Amino acid sequence: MISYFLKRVLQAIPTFLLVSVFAFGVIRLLPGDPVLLMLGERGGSPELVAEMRAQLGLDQPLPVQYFKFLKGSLQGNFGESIVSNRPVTEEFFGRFPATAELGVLALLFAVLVGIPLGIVAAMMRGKIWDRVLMGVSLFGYSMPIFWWGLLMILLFSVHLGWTPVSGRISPMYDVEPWSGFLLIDVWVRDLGGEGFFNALKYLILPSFVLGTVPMAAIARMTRSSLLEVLKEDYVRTAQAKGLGPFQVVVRHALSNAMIPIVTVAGLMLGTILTGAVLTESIFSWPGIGKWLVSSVIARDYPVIQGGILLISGFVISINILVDTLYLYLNPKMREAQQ
Amino acid sequence: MKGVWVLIFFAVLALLAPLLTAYSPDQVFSSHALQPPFFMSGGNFTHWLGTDDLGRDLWSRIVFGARVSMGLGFLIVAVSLVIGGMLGLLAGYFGGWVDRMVLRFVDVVMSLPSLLLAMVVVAILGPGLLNAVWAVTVVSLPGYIRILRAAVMGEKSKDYVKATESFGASHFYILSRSIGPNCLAPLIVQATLGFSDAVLNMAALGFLGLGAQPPTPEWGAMLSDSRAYMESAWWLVTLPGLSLLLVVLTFNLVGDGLRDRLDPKLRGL
Amino acid sequence: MTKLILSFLLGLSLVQTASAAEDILVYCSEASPSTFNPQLASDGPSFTAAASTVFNRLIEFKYGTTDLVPALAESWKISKDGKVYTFTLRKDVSFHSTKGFTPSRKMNADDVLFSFERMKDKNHPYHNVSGGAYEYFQSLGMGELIDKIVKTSDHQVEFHLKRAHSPFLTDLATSFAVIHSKEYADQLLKSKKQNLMDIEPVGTGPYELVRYVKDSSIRFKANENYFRGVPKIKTLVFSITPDPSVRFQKLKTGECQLIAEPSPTDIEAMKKNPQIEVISQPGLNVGYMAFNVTKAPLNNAKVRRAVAMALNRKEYLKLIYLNTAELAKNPIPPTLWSYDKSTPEIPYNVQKAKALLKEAGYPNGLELTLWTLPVSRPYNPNGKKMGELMQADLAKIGVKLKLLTFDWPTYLDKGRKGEHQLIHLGWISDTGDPDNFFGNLLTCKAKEGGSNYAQWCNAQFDKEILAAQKVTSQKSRTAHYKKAQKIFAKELPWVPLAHARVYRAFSKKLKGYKIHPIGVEEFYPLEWAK
Repeated sequence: MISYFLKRVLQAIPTFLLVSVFAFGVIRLLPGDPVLLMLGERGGSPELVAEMRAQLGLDQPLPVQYFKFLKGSLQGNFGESIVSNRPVTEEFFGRFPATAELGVLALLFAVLVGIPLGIVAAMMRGKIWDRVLMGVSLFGYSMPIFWWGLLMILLFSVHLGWTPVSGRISPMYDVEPWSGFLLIDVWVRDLGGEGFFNALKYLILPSFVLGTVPMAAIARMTRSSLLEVLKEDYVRTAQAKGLGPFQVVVRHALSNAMIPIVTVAGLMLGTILTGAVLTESIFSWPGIGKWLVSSVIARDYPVIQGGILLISGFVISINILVDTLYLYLNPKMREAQQ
Repeated sequence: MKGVWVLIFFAVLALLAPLLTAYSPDQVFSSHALQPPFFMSGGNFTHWLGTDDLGRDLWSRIVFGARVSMGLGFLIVAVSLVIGGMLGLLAGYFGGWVDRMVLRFVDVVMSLPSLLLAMVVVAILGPGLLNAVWAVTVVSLPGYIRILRAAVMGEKSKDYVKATESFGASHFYILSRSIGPNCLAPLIVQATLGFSDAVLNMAALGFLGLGAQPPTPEWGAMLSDSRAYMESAWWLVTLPGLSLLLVVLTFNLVGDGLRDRLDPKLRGL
Repeated sequence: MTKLILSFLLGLSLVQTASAAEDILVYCSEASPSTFNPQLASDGPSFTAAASTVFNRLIEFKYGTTDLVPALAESWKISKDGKVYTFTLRKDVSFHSTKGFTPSRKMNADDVLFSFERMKDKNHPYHNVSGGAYEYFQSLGMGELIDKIVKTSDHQVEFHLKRAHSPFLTDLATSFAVIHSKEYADQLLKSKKQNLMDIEPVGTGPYELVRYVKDSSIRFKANENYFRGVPKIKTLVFSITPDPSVRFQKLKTGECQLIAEPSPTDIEAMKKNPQIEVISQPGLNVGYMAFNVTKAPLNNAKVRRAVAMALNRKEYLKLIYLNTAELAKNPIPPTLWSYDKSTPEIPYNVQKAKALLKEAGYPNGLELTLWTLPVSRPYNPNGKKMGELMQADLAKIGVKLKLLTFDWPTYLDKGRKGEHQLIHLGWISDTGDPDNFFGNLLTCKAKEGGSNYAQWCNAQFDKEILAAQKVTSQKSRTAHYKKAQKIFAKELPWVPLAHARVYRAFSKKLKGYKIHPIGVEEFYPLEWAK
């Protein structure tokens, strides 16, 4: 398994290099000189232009520039944001925990709700409940989540007043960031259960909205892979032995059906990150997604460059982890590897 | 098949948009601003679905919005079908370094969440409808590439292809006559499901202000516009979103159905 | 299932009752501040976040008025020729003690010198920190106006001006002219962390900055050593909420108790809500669309007039401002002295506009790009919508309008550099002196400083404004300003759009709130009802 893991890491290196070429190209693909574009028509004195070019490293030959950029990136230096004059890494990691917390909770929701829904549907195959559940999950799967988010705010925050409209925690609580995950930091900062539930209250609606599409996808996948497994011989044997349908599913079928389910859950990472961009915009959630949208609108190139690399690095690593986990869960493939 | 009728309904809306509406979607009736739909008090049949905050007829905007969404969805699917299909075909048929290069491209695209990548492409090209189309096309390529590549590789190892090759047939002949038609089924399924992705991604870009620019009646942009009226004029938020949901839902439904019929092996997601 | 889990979690969350500490105030602000140093800022959100929370000025405006009151300077004298201003400083003012800084002395003349030299002296070690653009200072022409600043004793400072300048005192009371701690600056200089000066500010004001969480919140705590006495509200939190309808929702649900710039669409609903107090007063503001007159074809006055005449501005008052504003024709609002009533209205006339365009040499129309205001401001509550209306209006005379926008800091930055053709902007006065409009927005000096977004530099107009600055009698100043308004109306570097009424909405429990005419919030005078 370790050798598989290492192999995947090695394979990822060229991909990552290509992404870095792409990110590097972003700022240079633009028509015209990026410095003049940044300075605008008013421009600056020739010295200022030269200084800015030097600052961005644009005065050197392209290959040199690229290796400098690559070296800087590997050392975690992505330059400074044009808008805030602060390092990109600082801006990124200042906002990342908010997105991560939202994403983890959304995935948790998707798995905890999606799998049981899929099991129920599979067990009731062809009956009315199966149809209802699968109809609902098709709706969830097709949902434009920015619209879904607006509707949920309208219902739960505005009309029912159950959840707050936007923000991460009540201003009553002063949480000095420690991990950046509020659900953890409230304990570190001695705000205890009260602070925890307050933060949860702010988190619940956005993560429900963000988790809707993955939940539906997981429910569909659970159902169909369970149905596949239920056709297999050993399940029939178990049924013949007189085990009840619930026991059959839980004891025998589910463990085998887990493999495709884990894969789907892994694939949901992209869905969740994409969804985070929209969810954060709707809920004024101070995370990566909202920041990248405004950076794209502001054409803050160092941020876009750095953001691409950091996010793709993150996605690639998670994919490797998921695939390794997949191998671990799947005994047949494990044997094949050995 | 389930859903086909809804699909036809939206297609008719899109095609016959000017015939089905009394007003242009950009025409401003300022004295009728924020008029509710006909069934509410204050509503009437001159603007039967009501008007937006500038007094533009909502029915016109939704119908023309169907034209924008469906038209662009169609365009994106067609372009990515051609480009992605070609790349997949070449990669699967020739293998070797061609295959590796194409696969790397797929890896790079897949390593960034689709909407983020589309946003970056828009950042390079600048916000706008056509640029958003390109962005969404790039993002949707891997799906087509993978399907064709897998299918071609599967077909290639079959005896009949080997047989044609041994007769000395050209690559082009083999590709066009033997393999292509046999990959059609999964491609049709992918195109149908890809359509709903394309529509959703375009709307999301529009919602973020990076896609369709005003006054184009695009559903995503209409939604982000109407946020301020969420409470006072619910129809502005509800109706464009509902249309979007229906179109996406229908295409997913049809895609599911097609998959079950054309290719039972692919059943699942 | 979904519902079950939801209601379970919600049920738990209800256990958490509002342990409402009564001395906290949550203010829903409309945008992230671009900096915490008001010297570098020119936008309301940044001023509100720092100028009257963290900092003080030598002189300040009395809350709710434009009268001047002593602040860090307890008294001042003006020499007979109007060129030397002598300020006597208070001796009992301490700077904040923060995590990174503990002051060893009280505020004195060195701090005043440091604060102004940073902006004035290009070789000052702090001049180029954080970009080194002091827009306000530059556009008021202060660098060129102030000859020298002299410390005559530890608690006395003289400002020597090159010429008499009637608005100088009010200039010093405006938000940008804050006093920093020289001791803090020296400490940062030693550790080479100069930029912290503008990120973790140290001031003398009623509140200390505790934490700024990007795009999310700003938290302040009361300054227990504030020289005017300890603030009654101990904790102040800005909850950054760009969407005005969300701000209203948060006010309703009690997530904030005071909101910035309520949307005109919500005013009626707010008035009906028994928990919410709504107040309003005519604002010292103007919303306008500036032409970049340095760019063809907008350098042609006929083209500008044609565009102005094609815009159905009365319609905008109804649709954008929802009848909470009046039509503008001058750059200053009618409530300000020297307003010229005799300026002719700009008529809405599509035929004439077309004819003018033809005369100017564009019989087949032309293409223009308009930047639409990205934030909701009282002088323009919905830039994007207005842009769409303008697009439709201009299409009628064959002008194809492209709309574009950026986030607020970038928008201002690029606008300042004159990258636009047409741009939505506005001005909320900081002083109530007409010079604050004319001098800041339309003079050649302001073109260099950056807040002249029309990039308009007209010799005649400039002459009148400069003359008005030299004389002290209001009557003769009025005469000059009226002449200037005539030139403005002829040249039309802007299309003046509207003067908005200012509304504020807050919880009925909040006492002491007044609309500050200068458009910046103050929190020190506020308290909770017993």
